[in-house]
Amino acid sequence: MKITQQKFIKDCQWAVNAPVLFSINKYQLPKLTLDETVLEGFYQQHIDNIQRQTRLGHYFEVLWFAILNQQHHIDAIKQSLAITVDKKTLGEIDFLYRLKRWFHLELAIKFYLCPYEVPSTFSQHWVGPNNIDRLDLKSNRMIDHQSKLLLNNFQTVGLNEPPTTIALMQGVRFIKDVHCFESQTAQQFLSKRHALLLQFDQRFQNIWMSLYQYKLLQRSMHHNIKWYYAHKLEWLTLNSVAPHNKVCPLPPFMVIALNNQTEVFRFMVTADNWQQESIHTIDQLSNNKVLL
Amino acid sequence: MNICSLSSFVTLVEVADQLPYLDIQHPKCHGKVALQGAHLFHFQPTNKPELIWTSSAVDFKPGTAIRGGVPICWPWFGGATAPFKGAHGFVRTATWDLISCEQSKESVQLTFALPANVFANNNWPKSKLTYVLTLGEQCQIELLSENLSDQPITISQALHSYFNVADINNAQVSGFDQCQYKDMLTGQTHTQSGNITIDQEVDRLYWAQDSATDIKSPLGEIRLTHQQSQSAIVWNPWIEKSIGLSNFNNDDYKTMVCIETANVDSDQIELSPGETSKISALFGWL
Repeated sequence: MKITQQKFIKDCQWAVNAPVLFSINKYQLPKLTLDETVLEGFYQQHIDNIQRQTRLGHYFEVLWFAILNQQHHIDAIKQSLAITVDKKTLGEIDFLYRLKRWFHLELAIKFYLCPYEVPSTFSQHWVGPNNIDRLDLKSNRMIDHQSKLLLNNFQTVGLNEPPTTIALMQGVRFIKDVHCFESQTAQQFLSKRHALLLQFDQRFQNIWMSLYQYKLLQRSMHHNIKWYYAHKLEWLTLNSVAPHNKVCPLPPFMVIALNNQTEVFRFMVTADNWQQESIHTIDQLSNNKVLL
Repeated sequence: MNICSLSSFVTLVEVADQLPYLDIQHPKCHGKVALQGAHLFHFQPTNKPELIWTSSAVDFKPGTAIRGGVPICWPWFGGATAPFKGAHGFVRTATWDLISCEQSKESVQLTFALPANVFANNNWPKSKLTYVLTLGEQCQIELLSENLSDQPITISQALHSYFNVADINNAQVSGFDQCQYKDMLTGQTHTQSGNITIDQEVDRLYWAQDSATDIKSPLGEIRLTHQQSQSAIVWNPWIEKSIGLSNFNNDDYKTMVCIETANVDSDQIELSPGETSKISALFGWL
């Protein structure tokens, strides 16, 4: 997918403002500012690298590189450093940057769904759309492994003391749809979704529905709405609408409702058995006591 | 939430919708302390089993007390008397400031202070409450109360420690032999004879000044030393009461016992204006 300059800038803004699902030492992040002109310059300078990106995680790191790169007080940035001890690679760190002293920044971009009717505050109840990943497992990995990589190995990257570690998992949490799939107009959909999200103090950002419910919605929704299946890199923001992207893929997918080529709303669609399977996975794992 | 600069062994962890906590990874131990209540809810000395107990039913929701670890009960223990509200005081659900974080080869020391507005918001006379937590091979806890008002205040307090025993049927609590206690379930006074074994609901207040308690279980032996404390409470809800407890699984009673370092009931403390008092506890595996 050829990422446009407009999308790249929107994505940088999204990254700076996106909900934080999990963090370590977030208070140590500097106050971030964005200048569109500087981002345009960055885009032009790195256009080949940006347009080569196919994986959301890697693309997200490029966005953060652009963001850190334009912070005035940051005077050095190193990206994607492999930590090798005794010829054994322990892992790779996302960023090292210097703002008077060195900071180690680990990033993740994640999309989690809660299968229950009432969204849970337990992090083990938030599952990835493929039913593989979970918020608690990824958080624990960031705490126990990624954030500790440099604690005893800081010399391997040329530092004299351990840097301050910051970890940031940003993303979107989707709760189960209740009535949106019965909507006939975009306005109805938006007001039902707003009411649902409001019930939970807008702590969650969007909704998910099953493929079956999505098919019902397609049938009931007014024909001025067109359905667009977002490329993974568009799970942040829409690129330019690709005409070929109209065939319904296998779930999970993110679908964007368009009116006159403009995004009106989006949501996640799962396989029909996703809810049942994810609850089963959670129940199986609940025998292992998980604390935070 | 005010946080001082953290040592390299300590990180601030925030998970969406849950209580932020400090994660302590020191060569001598691993610990977790929620900023709400300055609440230690995980403590595991290196190469030893988890020492304190926290229920897996806890959802770490802001505003809800954590069932397990070491809740701080202050300035009253148990139910409130009018005009105050809530069980066990108001500091275990308040967010504390972390005012200092020191480290050494042996331990990490965290010092918390309760923000001044918390007293006012709870109609409590002006006071100062400081909590010092030192985590290493052992855990040392100190709670310092100071009366900053111009009138005497009466406080009762407890470091409501939950300990991990793995199997209550094979656990024993010693250190209270020949000690008088009040059975809180009946109101009657008795004298303890020998060790305490738990095979029913137990809620007892022992008048034991600066005592030491040993908790033997299949996991090993924990030594708890009570300091500046006139009373200790031994509690296990057993089967029936467990069912009604919030943030507590029905079978949780099988793996925990509470031994609380306290100044409660007839041992409550009166603090004159400007006066300070301290209560502390030290625990670790033997």
